[in-house]
Amino acid sequence: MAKKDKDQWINEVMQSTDKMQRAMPPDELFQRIERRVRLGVNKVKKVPLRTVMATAASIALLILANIYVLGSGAAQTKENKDGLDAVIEYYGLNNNETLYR
Amino acid sequence: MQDEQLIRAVAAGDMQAFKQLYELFKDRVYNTCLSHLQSIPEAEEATQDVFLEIHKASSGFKATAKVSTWIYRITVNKCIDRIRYRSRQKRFAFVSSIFNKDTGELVHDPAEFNHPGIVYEQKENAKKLFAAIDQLVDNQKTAFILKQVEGLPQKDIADIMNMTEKAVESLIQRAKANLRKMLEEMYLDTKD
Repeated sequence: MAKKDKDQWINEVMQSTDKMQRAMPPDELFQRIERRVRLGVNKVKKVPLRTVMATAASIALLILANIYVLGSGAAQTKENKDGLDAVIEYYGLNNNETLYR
Repeated sequence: MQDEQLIRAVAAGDMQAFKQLYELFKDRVYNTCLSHLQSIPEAEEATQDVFLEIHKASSGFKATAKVSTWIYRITVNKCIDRIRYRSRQKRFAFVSSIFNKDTGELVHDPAEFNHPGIVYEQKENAKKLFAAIDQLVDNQKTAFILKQVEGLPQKDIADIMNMTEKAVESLIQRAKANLRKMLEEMYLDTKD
């Protein structure tokens, strides 16, 4: 019974556009089209200022993040190098010639 | 004047012919846009875009297709462009863009779409059907609308969609099956 109800409802919904009439566009629509044709412009889509600002902010953030990552990377390399130099110096490994004497 | 002659006259800059062509096709274009976009303001915008495109492209019209097929093809493409644009807008969460600038109302709300051509006693059912149609993938949506809502023969739909008749038939079957599935869920939701 429930299945019959459900199927009947679905069929009714599926057929709900059967007796549909065509909708009419507003009377002044042709005047709007004509105006645009006469202007010779196919409506240029303006990008909202907010979108432009958001994009600019995203790009600036991306550049800053890159600069930060590159900067901290370089500092870290220098730090690592300093640590390595201290070890070399401590064990007296800085003079390559000693190895061959 | 025949349709093709009208197109040639439009290409030659005859605005009277353009008006005649508009009168001949305005209802078909507007209703196809309305079923696809499910928003009156957007359907009006899309109808303008379609006729501007017809005006612009009339000189390149080749009589290999019927004028109506060519116009329906432009219409469907413009609608799909708008639907994709709308999806991109939603994806990037620019919420304000889906609201009408003047009234602040939702430009597109399929759950609330009332097609102006539906008879009163079918309004509630049609609202549910359009909400389900809106969830179909583009090609199933177009095939279903052109067949069920516009009442075009399968051959014409195949020409418009650049497909074989068999492919169109299969698309319509899949669209119907998907719609039934969605409606079944809606039915169960109302019963819960």
